[in-house]
Amino acid sequence: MKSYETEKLHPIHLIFLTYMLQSSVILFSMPRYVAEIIGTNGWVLLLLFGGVVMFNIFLIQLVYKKGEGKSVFDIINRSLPTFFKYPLYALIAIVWALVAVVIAKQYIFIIQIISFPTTPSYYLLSMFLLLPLLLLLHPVYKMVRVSSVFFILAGITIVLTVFVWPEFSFERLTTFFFKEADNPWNWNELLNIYSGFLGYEVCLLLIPYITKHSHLFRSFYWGNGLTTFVYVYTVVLCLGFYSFEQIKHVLYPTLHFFSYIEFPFLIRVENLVYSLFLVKALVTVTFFFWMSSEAIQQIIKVNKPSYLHISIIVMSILLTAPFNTRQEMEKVISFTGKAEMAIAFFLPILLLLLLWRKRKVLV
Amino acid sequence: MRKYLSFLIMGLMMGCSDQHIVEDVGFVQVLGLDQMKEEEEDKFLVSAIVPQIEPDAENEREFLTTVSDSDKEAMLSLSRQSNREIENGQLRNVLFGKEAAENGIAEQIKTMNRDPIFGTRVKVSIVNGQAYKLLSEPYTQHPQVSVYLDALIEKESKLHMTPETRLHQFTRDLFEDGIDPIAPIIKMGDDKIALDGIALFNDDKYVDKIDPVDARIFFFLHGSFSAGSVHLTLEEKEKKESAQLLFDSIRNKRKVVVTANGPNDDMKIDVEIHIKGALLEYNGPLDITKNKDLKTLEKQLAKSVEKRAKEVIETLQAKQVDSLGLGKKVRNSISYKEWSGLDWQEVYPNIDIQPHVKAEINDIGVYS
Repeated sequence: MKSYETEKLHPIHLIFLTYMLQSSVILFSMPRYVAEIIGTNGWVLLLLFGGVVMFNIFLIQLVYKKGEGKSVFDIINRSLPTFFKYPLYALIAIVWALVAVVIAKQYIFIIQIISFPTTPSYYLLSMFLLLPLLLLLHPVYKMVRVSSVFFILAGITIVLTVFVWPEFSFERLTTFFFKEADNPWNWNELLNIYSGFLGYEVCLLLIPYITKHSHLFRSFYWGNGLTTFVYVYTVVLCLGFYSFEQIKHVLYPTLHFFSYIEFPFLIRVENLVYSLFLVKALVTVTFFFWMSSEAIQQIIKVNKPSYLHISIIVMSILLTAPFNTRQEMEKVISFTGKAEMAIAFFLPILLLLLLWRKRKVLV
Repeated sequence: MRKYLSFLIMGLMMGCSDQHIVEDVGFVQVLGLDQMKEEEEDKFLVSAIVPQIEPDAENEREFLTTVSDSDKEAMLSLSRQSNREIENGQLRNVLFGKEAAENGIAEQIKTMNRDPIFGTRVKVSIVNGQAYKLLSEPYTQHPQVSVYLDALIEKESKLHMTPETRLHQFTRDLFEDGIDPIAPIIKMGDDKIALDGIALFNDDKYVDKIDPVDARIFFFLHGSFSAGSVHLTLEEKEKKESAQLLFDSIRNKRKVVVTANGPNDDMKIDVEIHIKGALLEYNGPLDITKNKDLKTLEKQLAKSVEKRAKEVIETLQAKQVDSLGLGKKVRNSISYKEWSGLDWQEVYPNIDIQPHVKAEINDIGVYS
């Protein structure tokens, strides 16, 4: 084992990583989704979503406990026949790669609307995707540490929200719960909101890389708590900053309100904010490409992973090439989000079943 | 090697498109919108002020006008009149002519919100008259009219003589059921611009204005703040003459109490105002160095403010504009079922709204 593979990860790195993985560009539009689909004071439901995530992480923790720290791929390789496991690996690799590229495209879409309306999107996309490629040259430990540094950059945006507090009023939150939604309790849309919490499933693949001192799962619980808090805080802030009907018309409420902040030396802070969000998107994209390549490496042995990374990135760009306008993008986001969700839930369940069957055979 | 190559590629890809070079761009700082008359009624007269950068130019600004039915088309047409690209990225003020505002400005406001380049901090104001006329004036004392106008409105809103209405606040209140938008209204004076009070809107249509003398009273009712002064005339009961009083450094606290016993019961709204400040001028019969007289004066002061507050409320109710946002308070104190069954616009003018003022004189200055 190479020396860096035994490096210790401090729990705080993992907490920051969880936040970076979970919260991504959806944070920009989250308050609008909440207003449209859940209605007044919809933030309450986000707490429930946070709870569901906790349960999902608990499932993964069970896999870790019952599997005695074995990696996910070990468990599958030992108990599933080839004709079954290869398609499974291929499927999850494709979904994860798509998730990564969709997040990248979504981010590019936003900066294109705001700052680079006439620059070709592939230009921006390829520039953006060079960064995960560079990050992927490093072992996963370093990627986790880089994420912690990036967290500090992303954290600045949270601090900046203090400057919109003077325009916040609890009165606008109203005293009603879950009323006046345009599209109330639409399951499809609710799942789209839930997809904003995804990203925690990365901990499945981190199992072989941690020591006991890293407290992987405890850190992920805390990290999810942090994400839930930031989501609730942002939504409450937006609901008190905008009027309820107005928020339904603002495409990216969280980004839009930063344009209200003014310093004597700086205006239009939103340009700074979405630049800082780059690091959030970057971490998520990098880790999903990494997971995808890990899954593919179970099917084919690759000597130079960087070639694999390049091919995954190029393939995923080609696969999502036809989807470019906002409506098309939303469809793809919704689709990949659901596929990702299914994997996050059913992969641990499948693993638990495999472990259970194996134990039964042994007994 | 590979790393360096990637960095090189990144370096080469940067910054080659969507350029905006400052010298080539004319940033509009003030935009005026007026309704056209008669046959071109659905069109707007758009006037824009762009700061001049040519050193030999006589004027310190470039004044451009065009007639158009859409904002974007107007920008293109304005660009054709200038040697620079005309952009809205530095826009600070949007002025609507009174006539345009009377016909409703929701469409224009929505368009401005849609375009990310406007930002949310653009100040929205109404011109008592034509925006074009106000902007075309040379103003010899303030050649840079955009800066002058912006500072004027900014200062007045800091003193709470006029609302701080930016695109954000206007849009927010426009979409909210329980409040109607307000905006500063300005007018053209002799070689100057002057504040003309507070423009009251019913939905997106300008209805009436509050005069500058009543603006302070309006803000007492509007919310809590600390700034400015108020000049009052106290009428003495015994004598016919009246006493003048200047109340300064005011801190104001407002509380709204809604009493609604049931859907069919009459609603009552009490607006409790607590003002605290320094008495800087008084020429009445009371001896303000004596505590007892000071207490009497506090009561007279409260009564006088209360009377004027009542008048302001009556004006607002008569014009059917809920500029104070009382609807929000009502909404938050009844159930959803009651609120959705209530036609606030209809109910509002007939509700019993009572101001209650408590005044406190903090000090009487540094000389007695």
